[in-house]
Amino acid sequence: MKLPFEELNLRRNPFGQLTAKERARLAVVDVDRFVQALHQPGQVFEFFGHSGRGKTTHMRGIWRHFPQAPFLRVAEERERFSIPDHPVVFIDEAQFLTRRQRRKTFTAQRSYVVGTHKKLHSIYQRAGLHFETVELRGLSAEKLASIIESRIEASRRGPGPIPRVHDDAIHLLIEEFGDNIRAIEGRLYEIFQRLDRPCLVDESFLQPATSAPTHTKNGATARKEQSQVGDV
Amino acid sequence: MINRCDLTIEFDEPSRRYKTGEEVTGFVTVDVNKDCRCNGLQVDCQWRTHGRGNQSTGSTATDNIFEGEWTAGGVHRYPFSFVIPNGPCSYHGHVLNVDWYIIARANIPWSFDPWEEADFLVEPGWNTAYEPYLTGDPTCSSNASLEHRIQVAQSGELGTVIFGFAFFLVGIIACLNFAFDDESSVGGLIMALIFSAVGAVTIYFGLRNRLATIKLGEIQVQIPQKRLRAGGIVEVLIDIPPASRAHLNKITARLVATEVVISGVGTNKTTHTHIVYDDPPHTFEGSVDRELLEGESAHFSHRYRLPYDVPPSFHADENDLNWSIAFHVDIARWPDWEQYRPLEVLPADPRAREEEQAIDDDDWSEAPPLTEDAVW
Repeated sequence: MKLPFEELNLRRNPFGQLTAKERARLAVVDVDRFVQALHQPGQVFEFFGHSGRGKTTHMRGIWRHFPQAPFLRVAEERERFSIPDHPVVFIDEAQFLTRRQRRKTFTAQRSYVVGTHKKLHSIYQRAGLHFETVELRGLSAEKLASIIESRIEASRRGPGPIPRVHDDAIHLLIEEFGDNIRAIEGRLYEIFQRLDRPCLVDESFLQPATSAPTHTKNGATARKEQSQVGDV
Repeated sequence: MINRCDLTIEFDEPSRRYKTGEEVTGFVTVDVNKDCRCNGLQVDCQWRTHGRGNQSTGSTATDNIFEGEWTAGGVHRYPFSFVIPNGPCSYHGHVLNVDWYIIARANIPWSFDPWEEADFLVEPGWNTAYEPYLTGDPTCSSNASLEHRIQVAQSGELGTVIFGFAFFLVGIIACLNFAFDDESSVGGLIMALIFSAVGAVTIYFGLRNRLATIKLGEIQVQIPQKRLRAGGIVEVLIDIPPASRAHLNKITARLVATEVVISGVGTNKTTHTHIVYDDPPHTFEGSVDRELLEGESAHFSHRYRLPYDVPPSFHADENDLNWSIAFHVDIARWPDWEQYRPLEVLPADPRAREEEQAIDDDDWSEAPPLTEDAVW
């Protein structure tokens, strides 16, 4: 048994699930202007977009500059919801707030960073908040390349070569999945599971697994073949 | 304010391979470029999952190995030592991995606390008592007693019927709406028919075992040893008290191990599964083309050996490796009976394995030895 992903000079699959802190640390987002504005009360930045477009990642990127601030996620099932006392509050999945909760949550004495699938402008207006909606749509090849680079680099085990993703593959991923970063991560996770040495992941790796190139391990299948149960 | 504080973790054992119950030892080296005070150099030893699911962490053993002043330019080296508990062992699967870590964290006033972590491998031990082996986090709900999970597995049928009935009802109401409403679209009718069909099929699967018992009576499944080691023998018994005359095509049992992990929260929650072990169905002796007569109980049994290199069960929040046996009673011209029963698989005992190898090498043709590439 080897250390995990040792053969790739990595410590783990770079496209596996991250903790909230790791997501904040690795977020490839320009947050300076948000961070500055949030120091004043009465400001709302609303991140709006479909699932997998980076709402939570943007919020985590900003939250990194306010590590003491509460980061709340509203549950789909109606639950009691209270806001701890802090000048900046992060609320993810805000579309699930009930009307009553919305009225009680937003006040002009605080600033907010909100992630939502539904715009909540009237609520902010009623609370006297100055708001800006940041619609997360579209993904450039440069941005995706830097997201991928930061994820792989953060998983590095030691000095030396590590797998890289070729620009052509990045363009193909955008062609296939559009701006759905989560789906792209899922695809890259599967590709990195199959690698057996640091190499350049090009477009040939995006073929279905059966016709994938040779730098792959076939761990699960091999294990199955090795492990036949014997009747007693 | 400190400018640079680098932590390095070195293991005394360069291969970083340890057995359960052994001591993991090494040094944390600190390199600072300015004199500074350290309010505590804390070292943790813990297991953690990684892969497609949300990360789960095991209980941590912690040691404060230093508190005081660090001078620039000097080498500051502090030993650490932890006894590895009896599980879980390291596991590298497809959507689930379990690994062990030493994490060093320096508490430095007025600065971001520098930290460093290094992974190491934990394998089944020679010197460890195997009971109780820790199959992950003992406090998580999926690590509840095996008996509880067996009850859950058996109570799933009612839920399936209710779910199917709800679908069926919605489909029928929509069909009636089409019949009495001139403005309904054909697309709506197709959707209604799909709902009805899905509902009907789900109800059938939910009631299938009930229908089978009309012919075969209450089928009793027994697994005398539900908690066994890799390399051990699974014995399964089935008793059928036929309620009427029936013809059995065959009875089979299949061992399956599946990684089940959950990623995301709220609306982003996704379950990922990956089958890591799925052996071909084993047919019970004497069950093929068997005629059963009303009132004459039939007993079937089957024993098979698990390979030594299969991964053990693992349970933590949102990260599981589940073992189960799927039973299938194929009844001629009648709905089949199917049920699965959870099992708990523990790592192989290296001593038992060696002893057995010494006694009879021929047996090993069925269960191949461990290789470097194997999971175990």
